[in-house]
Amino acid sequence: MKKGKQHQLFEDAYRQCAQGIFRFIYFKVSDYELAKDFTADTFIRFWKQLVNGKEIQNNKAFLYFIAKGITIDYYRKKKHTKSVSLDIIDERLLGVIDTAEDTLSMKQELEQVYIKLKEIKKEYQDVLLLHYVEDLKISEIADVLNKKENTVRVLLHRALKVLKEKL
Amino acid sequence: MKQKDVIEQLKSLKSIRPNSHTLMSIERDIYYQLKIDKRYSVWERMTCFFKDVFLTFKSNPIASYGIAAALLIIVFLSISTGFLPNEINKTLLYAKIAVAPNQYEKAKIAFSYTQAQTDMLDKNNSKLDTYQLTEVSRTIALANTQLSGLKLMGEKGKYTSQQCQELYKEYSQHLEKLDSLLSKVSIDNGDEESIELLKAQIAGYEKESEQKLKVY
Repeated sequence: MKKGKQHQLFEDAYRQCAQGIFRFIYFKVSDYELAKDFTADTFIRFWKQLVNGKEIQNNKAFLYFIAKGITIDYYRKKKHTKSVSLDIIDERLLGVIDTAEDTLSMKQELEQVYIKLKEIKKEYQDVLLLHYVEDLKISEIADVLNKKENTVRVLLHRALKVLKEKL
Repeated sequence: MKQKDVIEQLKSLKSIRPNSHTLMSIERDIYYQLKIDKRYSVWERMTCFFKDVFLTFKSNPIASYGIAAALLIIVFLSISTGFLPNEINKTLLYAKIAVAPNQYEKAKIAFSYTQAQTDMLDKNNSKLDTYQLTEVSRTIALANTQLSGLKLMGEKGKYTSQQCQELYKEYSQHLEKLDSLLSKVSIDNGDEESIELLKAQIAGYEKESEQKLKVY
């Protein structure tokens, strides 16, 4: 692939997926600055794969696959036992909500879902986030999680059931 | 709670997202680390800036109403006192002079401005106020300074001696016109001394321009 085409592909991928990748990572690490760094790392790894000529079938799924790998590495290396403050969503991520009053009530609602989501199995969290928040198809989630599509469907069904009980 | 509601609640998490400024800073970091020179167009920067301003205003309505009201008051006061148009004109004039490619162009810009001002006085007023007099004095002084900077024999590749001569002729005629205009008008607060001072200033410039014209 020519360099110009790689650049274009990379820019398009960034424009389309950066927001979602950032959010996905933020849900995983619960730290705004770390999420920024890891989002950058995700796209840097993606770029390196492009330059090395790797055939990428689905950019979106591949980016989430990299992002997931980065967060796993992070927890593995850090042996992250210290619990992060899960009940707080960084204010900088709530700029899109309409009025101050709405912000407060919506923030509380979001935090409620966020906390409950954090309480369930990581595997369940992943399928729920990828499908309902990041809008990935079952086939794409299967690629990200390296599982069969049927397994993803089952996981999704169970995850919903567990979260429903929590909420 | 129904399954549908759980899904709706999950979907609401989509509203958690970074602003465009954060995304741009991440992108910059990526390009920096990859050593790729990425240039953002003015349009991209402006879009990013206005998006963030819009989002900030949306999330802080009280503060945004305050800012909007303050801006309106400033604009209203500026326009009603006549401060803004004059200041903008002055700034534009000095900017034009600063970026003009050579001394001839600078002199022409300054001279055109004072010509326009004199024409306006000629049309509108038989009575002047102190502010108008000060403005005339200031702009004619600016034109004179710029004209004084001209090299009468021209500058190679920039302007010719003939162009200089013509400009000086026009300037000289303009000074005469201004002088006669000042003889006709009166000042509204009776401060005739100001008119006399301006006339003396113009007489000095006329003398100077005559001497320059003698060179040709």
